[in-house]
Amino acid sequence: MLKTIIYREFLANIITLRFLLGLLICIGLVGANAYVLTRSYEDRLQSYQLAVQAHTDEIRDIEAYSDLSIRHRPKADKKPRLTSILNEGVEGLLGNTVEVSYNLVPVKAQEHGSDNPYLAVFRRIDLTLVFQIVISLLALLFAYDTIAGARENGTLPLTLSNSVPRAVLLLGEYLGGMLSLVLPLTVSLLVGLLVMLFSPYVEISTSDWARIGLFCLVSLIYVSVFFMLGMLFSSRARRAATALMLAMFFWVVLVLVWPNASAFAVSKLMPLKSDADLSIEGLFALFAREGWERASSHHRLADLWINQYGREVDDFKKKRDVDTSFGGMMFSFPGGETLIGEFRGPPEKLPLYHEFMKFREELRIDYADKEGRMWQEYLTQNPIRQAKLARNTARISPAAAYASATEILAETDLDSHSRFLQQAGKYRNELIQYLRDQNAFGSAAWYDREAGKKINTQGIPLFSDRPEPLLSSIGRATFDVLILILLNVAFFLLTYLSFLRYDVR
Amino acid sequence: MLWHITKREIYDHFTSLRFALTVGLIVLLMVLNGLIFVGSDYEKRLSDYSQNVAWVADRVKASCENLNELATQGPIGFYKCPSPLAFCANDQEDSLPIRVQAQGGMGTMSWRTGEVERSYSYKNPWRLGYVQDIYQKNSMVRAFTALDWSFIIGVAMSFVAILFTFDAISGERERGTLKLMLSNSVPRGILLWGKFLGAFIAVAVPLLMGMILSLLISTLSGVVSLDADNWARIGLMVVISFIYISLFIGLGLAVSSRARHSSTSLLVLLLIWVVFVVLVPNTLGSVVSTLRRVPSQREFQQQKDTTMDALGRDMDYLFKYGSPTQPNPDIRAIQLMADYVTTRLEAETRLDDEHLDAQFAQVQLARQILRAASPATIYNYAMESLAGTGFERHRQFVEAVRRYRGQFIDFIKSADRSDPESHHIYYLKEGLSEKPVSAGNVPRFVEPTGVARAFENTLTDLSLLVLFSLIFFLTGYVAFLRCDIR
Repeated sequence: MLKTIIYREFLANIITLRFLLGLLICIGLVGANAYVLTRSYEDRLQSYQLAVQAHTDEIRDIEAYSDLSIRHRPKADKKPRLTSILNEGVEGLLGNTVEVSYNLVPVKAQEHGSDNPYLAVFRRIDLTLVFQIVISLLALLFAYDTIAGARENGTLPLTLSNSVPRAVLLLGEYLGGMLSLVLPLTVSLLVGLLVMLFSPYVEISTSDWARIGLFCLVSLIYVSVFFMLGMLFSSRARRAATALMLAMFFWVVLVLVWPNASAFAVSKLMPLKSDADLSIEGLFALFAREGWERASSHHRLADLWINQYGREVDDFKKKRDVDTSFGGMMFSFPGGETLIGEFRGPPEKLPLYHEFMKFREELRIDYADKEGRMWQEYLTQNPIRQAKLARNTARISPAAAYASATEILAETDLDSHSRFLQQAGKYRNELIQYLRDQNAFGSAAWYDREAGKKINTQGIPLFSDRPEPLLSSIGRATFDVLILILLNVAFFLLTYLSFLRYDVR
Repeated sequence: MLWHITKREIYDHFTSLRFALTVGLIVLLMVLNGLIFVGSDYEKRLSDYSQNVAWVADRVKASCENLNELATQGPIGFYKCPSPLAFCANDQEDSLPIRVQAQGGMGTMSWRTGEVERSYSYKNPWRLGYVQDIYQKNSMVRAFTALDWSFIIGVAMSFVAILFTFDAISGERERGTLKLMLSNSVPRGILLWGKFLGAFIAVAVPLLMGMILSLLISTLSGVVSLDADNWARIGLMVVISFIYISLFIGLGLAVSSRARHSSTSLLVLLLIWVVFVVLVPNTLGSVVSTLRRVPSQREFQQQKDTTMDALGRDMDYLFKYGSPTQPNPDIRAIQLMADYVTTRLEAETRLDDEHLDAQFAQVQLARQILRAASPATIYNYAMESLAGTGFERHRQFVEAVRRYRGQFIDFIKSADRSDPESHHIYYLKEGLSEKPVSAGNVPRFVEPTGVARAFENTLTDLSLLVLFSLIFFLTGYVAFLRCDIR
């Protein structure tokens, strides 16, 4: 009996206009967006490859290790994810290149490539947004007349006069409806994939395939939530039109209003503490208004480097009677001067000089760690905290939970970005270890640029972006998927209870 | 007869479930809108703005002791006043910079040859810097639509308008009452008009209620004080919102009269709505912006560096006649240095201005195309202009700053001309007068705002909306004239 009901529901849905229109719209939207997004991905990939090449050449061309301190800092580049077509996430918003050096902990990334900042006025669209909005609407349009409509056109009492348990009928309607919704979902996704595969630059790895498959699965669970919701309304209403009205209003609130309103409310009501006492721009502003004295003591980073670090270096200089007028200096903020030219003093002073250099650079590493911790603390307690609060309040809506889950699966969420920065931090440790192994800080290799004495740059480690293992992504996305599954179960139970007491005449 | 039909429609709507749901929805949204605005940092932004403007004014006054000081330091910076109507159209306001910088810099040039040493401590003359000084935007929060009037009315109310009219004609036909009505001597036009008015009032009344609620919350909380100019803007916003709503009512009636079943009509309307109100404004934006390429920051910086290097001169040439700061400077030294500095200043200014203009042009092209693609964007842009927020306002702010730049320079030159002791060599500190200037004479930067100007800006959008409304309504009329009512 169940199979008959499923088959009937499925057929009845397929021949309707709403199915045809829904299918066409989905295919059209997904196809068009996949095309645009693939082109954008190609651009980003090309930009990434150029950047990696340029950065590698930059490192291989340095002449002395001191070049790594300011002028030719190694860069860590984040590879653009193919799955960003599914959900753009924070890709393109938070930067994809970060400078890393022994004297700089990576905490904030920059964007390489074309960047008209005024383009931020346009929002970007991805497949998740299309499904989030269109598929859920379709699901409600398929579901609102399952029970109430059947009652209105008189087929409900006829069906139930057979020995069909109400639960079986419900299940049959659900499965039949879902089957007919699976078609637009999967066909449009296939069309999107075809469009993606057309591009010569796109290579879909196995992990990407797995992620796309999971995206499909999560989208199905999401569609099911709204289909169940539609059935719930249908089982509470006497007339299909009432069910429809309720469904429509709930849809607007759940999909359009709640995710936006909660993010908006959080961003407006939870003020961000300014980073003026940590950032360079803040330092300049403070300097412009209040002069150097106040600026260098009130600005936490300026204070850290100029007062604290500077004092330790001066102490060493006085204690060991080091005269630093022998080399070419370069002032740099943060951290004071760096010796980059040749040593022009008396030969017997050379060992002391080297010792001073080593002390200073090793101290710089410690202070850079301190700076990194300050920034990390600020970021965690301010923008990251606000972003997480916004995400958590939005999750009440299944649309936001779905978007969050697909963001994690597409590896474009905030935590993925943090992971990239952590990887860059590990690379920094590799770099420091290498420099220590080469005794870069305490030898002439630090500053000597004569042709015969150039350093071997082939050994300097380079950054490579390792994607997140699939299982780890799945683990992180579990919470959101659970929300969706729970909603499914809850709506089904409510529908069942409603339907048990439903007057079918 | 028209009044009868309208009255009946109104009663019908007011007692329906959809009306109750609409009232609930709009009250919820407008109250949220008001509360969020009250709880936001608008007051802090306003006080920051006043402080900044006062600080700039103080610095200008302090440098009035000496004309050349004023000339080379310049007006420091220009700030954009936060709009009190931000709760009406806040959408991208937070991504736009709040100021334009107007500062110079300083440095020292020195040169030595044999025994002779020359040095010149110079101050770079001020120029405009288009900084991305954004007020605390957190780019980690995923992009969202602000819950402002523009969203509530543009998205939610248009949706409601569709829900009220999708079964206006087709529902009556299904119930059999359409032929009953038309069997009386009721012209079809009057019937359609009556339906239109009924639906319009049913949507406009809760909308008006909601707007009043939101305004009450904002004004009674004391966070904003709205003057006559603001009220005029709000009045215009109400008018535009009503026109926008009637556009969708017209559309709903048109589709309803062509469809055989109400469900078909609803489906078609919903899909049109989803595509044109929700999706198109978002997709097309990023597509269209790829049509015209603008050099990236890094490329632009490289181009700028190349050009500026080409304008460089070596120290031998510059210090040919000595330094401008030596005790009795040779006037030719001053002239030489001034030429050098001014050429570089003009080149840099031109490059910066052109780059910004290119960026603006890219955005404007995208906006123009979007305007043609969806009435929702037309409505959005109109609301932005009236509320004094958004990209267009920012662009006009930058233009006003540039005009002021010209005014300020003219003022400096004319003040300098009135001093007989000055060398009148522009733009070097040593070449200008050293007399003090009265702070009251310095022209003040005032951003030209005012509801008349805002209305001018919205005129195109307003007429487009009216045009679309008329087209939809006429389509509906013609469709209804020809439809089979049995």
